Amino acid sequence: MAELKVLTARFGTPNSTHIDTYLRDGGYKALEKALKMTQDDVINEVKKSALRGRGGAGFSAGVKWSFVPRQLNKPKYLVCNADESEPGTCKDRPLMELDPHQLIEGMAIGSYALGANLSFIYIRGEYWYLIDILEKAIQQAKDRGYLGKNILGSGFDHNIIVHPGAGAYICGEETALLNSLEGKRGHPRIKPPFPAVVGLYGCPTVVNNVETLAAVPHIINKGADWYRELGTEKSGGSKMFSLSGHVNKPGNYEVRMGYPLMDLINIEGAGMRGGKKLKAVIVGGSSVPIINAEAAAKCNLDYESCQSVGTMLGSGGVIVMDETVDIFETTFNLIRFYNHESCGWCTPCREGTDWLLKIFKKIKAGMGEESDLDLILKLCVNIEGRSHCPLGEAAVWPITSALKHFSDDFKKHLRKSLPVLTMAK
Amino acid sequence: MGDIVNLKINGKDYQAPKGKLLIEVCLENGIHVPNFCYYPDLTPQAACRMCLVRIEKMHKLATSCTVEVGEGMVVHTETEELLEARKGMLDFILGNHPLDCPVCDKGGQCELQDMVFEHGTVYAHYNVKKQATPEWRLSPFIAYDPQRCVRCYRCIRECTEVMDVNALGKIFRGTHEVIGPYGLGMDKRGMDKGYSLDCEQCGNCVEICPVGALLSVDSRFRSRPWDMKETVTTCTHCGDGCQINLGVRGNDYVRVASKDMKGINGEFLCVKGRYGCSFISSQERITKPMIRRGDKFEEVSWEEALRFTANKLKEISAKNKDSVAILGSPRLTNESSFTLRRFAEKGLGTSNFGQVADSDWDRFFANLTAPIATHNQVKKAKNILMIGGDATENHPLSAMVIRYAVRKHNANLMVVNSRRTKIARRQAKLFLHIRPESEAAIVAAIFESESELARLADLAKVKVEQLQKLREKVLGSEELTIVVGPEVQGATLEAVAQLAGFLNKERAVNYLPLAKYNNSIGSVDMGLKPNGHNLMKAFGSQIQALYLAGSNPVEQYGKDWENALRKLSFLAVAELFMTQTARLADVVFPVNSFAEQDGTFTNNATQVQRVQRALEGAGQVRPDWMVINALAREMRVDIGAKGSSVSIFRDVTAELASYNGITYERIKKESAVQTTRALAQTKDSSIICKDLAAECSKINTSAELNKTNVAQGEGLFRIGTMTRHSPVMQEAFGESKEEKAETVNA
Ligand SMILES: Cc1cc2nc3c(=O)[nH]c(=O)nc-3n(C[C@H](O)[C@H](O)[C@H](O)COP(=O)(O)O)c2cc1C
Ligand code: SF4
Ligand code: SF4
Ligand code: SF4
Ligand code: SF4
Ligand code: FES
Repeated sequence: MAELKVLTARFGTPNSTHIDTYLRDGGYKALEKALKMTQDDVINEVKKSALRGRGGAGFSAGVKWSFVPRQLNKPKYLVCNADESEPGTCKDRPLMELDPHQLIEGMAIGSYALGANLSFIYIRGEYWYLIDILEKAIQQAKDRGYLGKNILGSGFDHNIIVHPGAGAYICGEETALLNSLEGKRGHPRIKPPFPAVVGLYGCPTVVNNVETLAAVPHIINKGADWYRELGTEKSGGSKMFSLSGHVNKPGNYEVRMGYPLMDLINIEGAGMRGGKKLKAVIVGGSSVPIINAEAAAKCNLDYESCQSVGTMLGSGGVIVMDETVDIFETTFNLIRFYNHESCGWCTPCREGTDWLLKIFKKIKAGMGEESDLDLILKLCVNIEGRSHCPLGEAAVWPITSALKHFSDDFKKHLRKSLPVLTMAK
Repeated sequence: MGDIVNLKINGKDYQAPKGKLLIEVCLENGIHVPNFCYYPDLTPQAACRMCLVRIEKMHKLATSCTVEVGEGMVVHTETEELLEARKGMLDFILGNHPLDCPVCDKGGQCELQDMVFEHGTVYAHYNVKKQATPEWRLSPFIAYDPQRCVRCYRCIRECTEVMDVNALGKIFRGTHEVIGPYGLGMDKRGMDKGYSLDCEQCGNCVEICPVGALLSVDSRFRSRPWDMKETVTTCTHCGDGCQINLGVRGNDYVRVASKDMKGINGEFLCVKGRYGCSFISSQERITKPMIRRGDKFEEVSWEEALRFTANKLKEISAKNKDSVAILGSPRLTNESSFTLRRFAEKGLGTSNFGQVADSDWDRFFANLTAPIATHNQVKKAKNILMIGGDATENHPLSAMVIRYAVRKHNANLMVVNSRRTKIARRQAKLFLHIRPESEAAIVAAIFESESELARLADLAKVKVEQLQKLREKVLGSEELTIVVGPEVQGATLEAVAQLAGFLNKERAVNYLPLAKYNNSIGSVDMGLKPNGHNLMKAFGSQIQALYLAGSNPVEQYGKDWENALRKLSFLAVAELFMTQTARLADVVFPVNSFAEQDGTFTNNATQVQRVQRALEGAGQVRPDWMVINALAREMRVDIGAKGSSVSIFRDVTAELASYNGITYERIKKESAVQTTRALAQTKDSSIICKDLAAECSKINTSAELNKTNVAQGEGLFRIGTMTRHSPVMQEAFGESKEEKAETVNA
């Protein structure tokens, strides 16, 4: 009963990517409606819905839209962040693969609200097979007059360009994404100025996650209150979770915000694989602190609850680990990832992740000492909050939380203390 | 603009202009904030994270190099937390750093060393293996050691923003990121065995690198900073006159540096200034006077050479004073040029004296109707009209300040040129690409009535609309800086000098003449007219003897000069090297280079700057003025000789109104002192139009536009009399290389 079908409602429909089936299912009605509303009304509706960014940070979508200085005499842009690179997260993929028009309609509504005549889908290069699906859908929407000039006679022009990335995790960070989109190296920019004011090509730009934008048509159709009430007061609506790891039925599931984590594991996921005991969960994709079974039991899937148990909802990549898992190994895997994906711009992340990785390698080789664990924590202190972009922190949180909850897994890899040599008698 | 905000730093109250970077406010108020990636005038990076400060009400530490000060800001820069953060950041930087200071050229002048000394003990101990990356030779001038690189990206920004060369970028990602030239044949690790840095080779990236990551190859492993004697002096390679810091060890050239300098060029230098001064320690310098015996030169004593020359000059001058000529050069110091003129006038009584140069700057100054702009003033210019000249290639500092004006405040740059220069292509808002030698038509278009535009546009082969636009802009701007290239000559040059007067006095107009040589303007001021080419025509007839100082016309101007010089009955040459010209002489005097003497040069902004002795001349070399003094003594003529450069300069300032009040002490204090020029009367525009019409009639209207872009290095990499003897310049740009390649291929 728990599973809710809003974003995923059409996933089972045959030929779901075609505009005809989309229209038959009531598609583009929200756009029609929005075009009759004022831009401010659209923004206020989204604000009221408590729709929070699904890319990870959970910032209110409506509030972000309202930061755009619409009166500024410059083009405005909407960019859909489809770089989906967060380990454990794969929920944007089906949204594009199975229901591209839902996203296009959301982008059209967003662009109308912002006064953007051109928007972009920045998609990770590995999703090359989705580019075709998206471009076909865009062409259909153009043919039917939902994109292009003077949409539905409203005088509003809008087009969408799909732009593939080249496979860097950092290009999911919104300002690095904008650099990459401009053809530059994918480094995060200095904030402020925020993209809403100085973004793509120096113009006001909103970057939103695929899932965020896909929710917009539903809010316009059924109203902000309806949407908000699906979830909690502060975390409105439903959200997709990519459930992976030691569960019987891994997969993408849409549930209401505030849904208990254990229900997701036990009901949607059909319980722990092989009846093993739950050891740890990473709730929001690899960049959030790992929690133990005890905390998982208290955790609901909304921003506030996650925070109260010491983690974050992030992008909704739920990674479940049973008692057989060595948390040192999983953490080692992650630091390798973050070191590899560090863009190199700032000292703490570039050098810190390298240093950390080297210490992990040392421990893995059986050469680690107790003092190395202290050193790891010390280095983490100097990365967290001091790096140029959140990737530095994303690299640190999994480590500090793992050491906090699962220090035994680390200790068992340390070198047994050597017998003290004594002088021969 | 103009808003002042109040803020508190470490408990004390400060005021600062709103929007100024916090780190700048701190540094200006003596509050030390460590930094690597911050650099004045370059865009902020927030990369090194050394400058973190605590700002109340912000939940994270903030980079003071990106935060702009605001009203009521409360800042802490010295808390325990920050000291720890800095130590920690230094540890990160030192982690993969080789710590090979004893063999690193930067040792002793390294910002990383300084910062580690300042912060004392480490935060965490690096007990794992360092990453090792091989050094990379980027060009004959520059090497890069990635291990020492702190990734502050100063080099990249210098090259992109200041130089507009865009030769450097980042390669690879994360811990493997290195600085390198853009996409040229690299092996798997991105390491090119050959040279791959395709750029102006200015070395400014090397200069501002805080550590020993970018290094100048020619001075590498040659000295420790503290083993070097450094002397601030003036570069001799072009008319801009940059200040350089000449490092000498023992009595040998080591390097030219410009870090932290405050002269007209700040830290900027070009390839010639930075790498082209090693000629002073060349083994090929001539060190003893020589007299020709048949085909050969014989080294003789000064006494003999002087006596021989004095006798010859006396003998020839006895019949007719004017049969002896004296020619100086735009390279000699003011002191030597002044002495040369005195010798000609007072000692020999000849009217045939001047210098070998091809410019009419004397005519320009005689018609000047507005002041000369300093380079610093050009940086602030709002409208710039550039007629002729290729500053990028021949006046690198002028080019830099023009680029600065465009980059920093979007100055309206209008370029008139017969070549597609880099500035015209990249910085100009309006580019009039004219027919060769048709500048007169464009200048005329400003003076003439509008009805003439179509005809003049035709003459210069530009679009009428473009010419119209230029005319409107020039006639309409309240402020205008006019940059004049060396190819603008004769009546056209006079008209340009009159333009400010024509535009009317209310407006702020100034000029920057792109005089070619280091003392083009000073030597003219000293009374040496650029009339060498005229006098040359009389060699062998009215003129029988010539004393030629500091010029190599045979190489510069070719056969005509060689033939003319051969017709003389007597030729004395004062030189650094046995040049093609010196080989024709009867007597050769070895003289000091700029680095071995005291004196002054006057640059193209008419600023007087010091030349200071950095090392002793090898062998028996003497300054040019001293040779002349000795010659006068030998001839028993009184030229009011003075025994030191400072006393000669005192005579200069006493005699020349525009140099009044300038002293060595003042120059020492102010680095550059601009001369004051009397402005000429504004002529009636009908006279100017008539002169210009005559110039226009000389335009060859069948000449086609020169459509090729000026290639990088056309001027910068040109080997000349002196740079030929700088080993690294010769290696990089020497004639032999391509010639060799050609013979191999043939
Ligand atoms: C290192 C890093 C990687 C990120 N990757 C993604 C991503 O793959 N997809 C995404 O939507 N947001 C990603 N984000 C978040 C974006 O910066 C941005 O907050 C988001 O796209 C905003 O959209 P939203 O408000 O709709 O969530 C990433 C952030 C960081 C710091
Ligand atoms: S934190 Fe990492 S990814 Fe982010 S700017 Fe710094 S080096 Fe790049
Ligand atoms: S030497 Fe000059 S032009 Fe070459 S890379 Fe360095 S800054 Fe750029
Ligand atoms: S080479 Fe020097 S200037 Fe360039 S990034 Fe490295 S340390 Fe900075
Ligand atoms: S710009 Fe001219 S004066 Fe300056 S360093 Fe270069 S050659 Fe010398
Ligand atoms: S100086 Fe501010 S981050 Fe480098």
